[in-house]
Amino acid sequence: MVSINAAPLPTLRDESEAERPVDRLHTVQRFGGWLWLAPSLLMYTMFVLGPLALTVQYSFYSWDGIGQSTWVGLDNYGEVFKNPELFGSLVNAFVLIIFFAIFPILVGLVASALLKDVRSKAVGTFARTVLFIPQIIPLAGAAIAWTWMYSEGGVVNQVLRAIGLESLARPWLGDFDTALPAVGLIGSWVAFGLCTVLFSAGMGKIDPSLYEAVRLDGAGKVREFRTITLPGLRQEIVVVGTVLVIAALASFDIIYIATLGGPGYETMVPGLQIYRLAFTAQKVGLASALGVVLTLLILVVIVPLQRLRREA
Amino acid sequence: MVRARVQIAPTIVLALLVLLTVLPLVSLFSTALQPQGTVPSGLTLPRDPHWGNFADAWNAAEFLKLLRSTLVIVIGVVPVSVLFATMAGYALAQMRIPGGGIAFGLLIFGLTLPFEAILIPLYLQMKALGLLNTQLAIILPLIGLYMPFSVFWMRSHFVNVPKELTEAAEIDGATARHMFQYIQLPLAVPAWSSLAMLLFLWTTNQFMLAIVLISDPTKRTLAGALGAFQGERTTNVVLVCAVSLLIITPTTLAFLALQRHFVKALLQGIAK
Amino acid sequence: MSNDYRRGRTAGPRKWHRSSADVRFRGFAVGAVIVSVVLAACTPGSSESPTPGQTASKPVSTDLGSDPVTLRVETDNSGSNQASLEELGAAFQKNYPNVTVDIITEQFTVLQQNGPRIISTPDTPDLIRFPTLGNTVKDGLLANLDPYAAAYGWDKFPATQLDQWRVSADGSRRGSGSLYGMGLSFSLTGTYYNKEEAAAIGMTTPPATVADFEALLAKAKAAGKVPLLSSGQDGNLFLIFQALMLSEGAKEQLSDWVFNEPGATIDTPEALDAATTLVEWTDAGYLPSDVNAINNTEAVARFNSGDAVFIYDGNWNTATYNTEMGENVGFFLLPPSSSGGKSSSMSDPFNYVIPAKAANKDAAAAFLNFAYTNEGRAIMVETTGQVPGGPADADLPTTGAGPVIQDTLTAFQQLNTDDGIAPYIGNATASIYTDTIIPQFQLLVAGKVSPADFVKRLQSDYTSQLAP
Repeated sequence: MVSINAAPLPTLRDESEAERPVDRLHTVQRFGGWLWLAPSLLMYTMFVLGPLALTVQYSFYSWDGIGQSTWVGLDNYGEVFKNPELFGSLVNAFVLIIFFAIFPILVGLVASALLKDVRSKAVGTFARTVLFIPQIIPLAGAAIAWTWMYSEGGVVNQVLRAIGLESLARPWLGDFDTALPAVGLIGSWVAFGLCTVLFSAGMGKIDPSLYEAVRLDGAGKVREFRTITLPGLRQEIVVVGTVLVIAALASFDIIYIATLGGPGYETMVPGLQIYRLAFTAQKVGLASALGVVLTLLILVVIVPLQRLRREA
Repeated sequence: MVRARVQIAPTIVLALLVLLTVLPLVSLFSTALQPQGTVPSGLTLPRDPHWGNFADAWNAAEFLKLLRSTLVIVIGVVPVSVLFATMAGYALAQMRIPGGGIAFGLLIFGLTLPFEAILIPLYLQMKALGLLNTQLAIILPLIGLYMPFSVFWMRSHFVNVPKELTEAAEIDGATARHMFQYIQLPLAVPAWSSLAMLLFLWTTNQFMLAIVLISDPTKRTLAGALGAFQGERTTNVVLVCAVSLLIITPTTLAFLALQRHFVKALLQGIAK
Repeated sequence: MSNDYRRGRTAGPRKWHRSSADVRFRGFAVGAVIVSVVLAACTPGSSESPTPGQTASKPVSTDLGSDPVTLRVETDNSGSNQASLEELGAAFQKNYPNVTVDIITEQFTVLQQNGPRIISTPDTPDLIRFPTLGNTVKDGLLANLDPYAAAYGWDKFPATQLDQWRVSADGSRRGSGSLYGMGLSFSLTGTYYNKEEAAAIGMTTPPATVADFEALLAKAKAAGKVPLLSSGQDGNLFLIFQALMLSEGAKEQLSDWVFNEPGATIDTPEALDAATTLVEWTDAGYLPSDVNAINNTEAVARFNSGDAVFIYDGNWNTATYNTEMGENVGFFLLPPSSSGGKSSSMSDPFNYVIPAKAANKDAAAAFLNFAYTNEGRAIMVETTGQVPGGPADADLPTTGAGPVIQDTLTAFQQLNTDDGIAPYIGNATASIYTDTIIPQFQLLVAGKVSPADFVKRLQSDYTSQLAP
């Protein structure tokens, strides 16, 4: 047995594989490698890729999930885009991107910039732990807590009344105008702690000499932020942004608990719509078509986003 | 003087953020202590804290049964997923596998897949296998669904292991299995242990699959059971709050105990 | 770098350590592969073609024998359902010592949505609360109860008690045909009122016409109280709408619509009137301004705290009202539109079905029957305050529990006399409640859709949901 030095190994940045030939274990026969891959790929194929192919297949039929099915070609897809409630759910999902992704990232950036100079380590650890909690509790739990906060006698209205803004107090989740933003803010709450902690850690990795250089140039805090901090955090922003955008487009848990898509159809999102169509209305074909559209939509948004990652 | 002033702003910001973070949970807590059957207003200091509500919540949620069920699911999902993913990540990073690139590409695609897209076929599949309303109905799909992220995670680790290590071991006559079991695996402890923590968290918090594939709330995950306690005809807001708190407690406790490793793992992961 | 590789290559014959552990490991790897294949092997099992209305050919029996039997009963967790079933179960077990009754609960919406799925698994409970029929008869998922009805004499009960769960052979129409479900007790909807507040605005007896009721609402509003509570978040607003239609005499129309009679429609003048009235009442402030944001729980809690004079609700909450308000709460049916008219209100059996795949059908039927005995009826009234089903000549249970419960019992008697039981429009199709009623009523009272468009939408959704 080879003894191992337990000291941490230098971590190398992962460049594209072509540039850095990794030593291959030529002692393993070439296809032996598949033995290592097989279990994971098998589970993945059986329970993800296979079902996905089935979803695509179902999307071309009209089917109630139990009895006979009828071929309808692209009709379901047409329905997804023509039906105002189905299309509306896609629109809502995009609106949620603002709350689930953009807003928390902004908050995280500003907060971590302001927190850069906090010296105390104890405070830092405590804050980091607490700020992470929204990521730990299930989304359904967050939704229950916030549903309660948003209720007529809940904390939000309580605070508004206490500071004299009584006229603003309202049933946030039941009001047609405020329901979607209110639901969105739940997602913001879930994400902003993560962004703050992430960007703080990321900032710690930026070379301080860069800051000094630009300060010597006479730059103020804002320019310093724009030219050094932001580019330095590029990787983190894109990765967390990707995760949060997917969370917004594929959202289900929060809306299921908080509003079930109401009032009316104000907060209906594709995830919940798919669930409803498939399991209540028993329109499996239509639900599958919506599922396929959602998947493609996510790709359409996410893939270009990755280009922002590698920049000169 | 300047330093003191600079310190105040960040402290206020921090305090605000922390306050905002805990407010919903505190509101849940204060409500959970009110007498059952009332609709208390927002955040009120309970004059007469009804601690017994938590005992009622324990029974109402059949908490022991729920914990056991969640444990079963976690034990079914996490070790297998970590093992399979570590093997695959290792292979993809350190071996030349014909078609390995395609396999990896397929997995990467899975990173963006919304679970809703495969909900219906999964349901029908589990029904055909006779597994509906059993823990296996969640365990099997979750393992598959976790593969993209897990393989990516482990591969990212193994890709960064310098080949001098494998060289040295080979000269000593080690085989792939030796390499894996005695060198790479111990080396990769931070990577796969943090993966395990993440998967544990995501599994206990899995909601959608739980409510669709398992109709008995006590056979679901912790989060899935919440689905049974929110509904138009529950008659007890106070109890719902107590149950919610009860349900989020185990994972929160686990997190608090391991938070240092946890946060470090997540941050590293995103940095990769 | 590549040098090293080649160097290793040509460094002489490699000493391979083919230890037995190695072989074992390879074996393990292959094993893992096989295990995952077996685990994941798709053997799509059941290709059963369901035949409507058929059950196992085992003859039914009223004798439960002496072998231990576990009877699994599933119900929704609203109100005191669980408590009542447990007490019923305990009493039942005294009569049948070899039977253990096991009660499982689930939330109402989940039961309504998941019902067909639950009963189509081999794991199904023996008796399950089943709010909506859906396609279950057509898909052969329910046991035909005719043999039990004959054996136990249920077919001698008032016909309207059983009608709602009689289904035609192809499952497309209700109101006649074989029996597929029985109600342990009946729901009843109407107006609960806060006696003190009502007296304060001058109400001495329950209103005799809708116009009288509306006048009372105006007085309540003037007195600064919430006149009428309801909940829009969970769709309970439809109760008021349907009650208004019924007071205009639309019972036949609505029954046909809910029972899916060919050609039935809800796009009628009565529906338009009812929708318009509901909007007028909302605009006049008779309903709380945040009605869309509250659910039944909160509405009940608000009523119990004394904020409102009336609440339109169902008797699944009678026990709660009785506990919280005691002597101070009463109940009356929404009166007809003109004085002297027949009373009519929505009521349906708290329905239970025996799944075709249930293991203990005989025990389930015996349990049902026990609920109709005088002992069972008394338990139902005591624990739930609900109106029990059963033969017309059974004792009317009297309860010392509270005036509101007695009021509901009296009201139900009245309904039976006037033959005024009507089914809920929420049961018209499998998905009309969650998919249409909840959102559309929210839109209606928020002024986002006109009463005319609203009624048309109800009808068009109904048609598309019924289409095969």
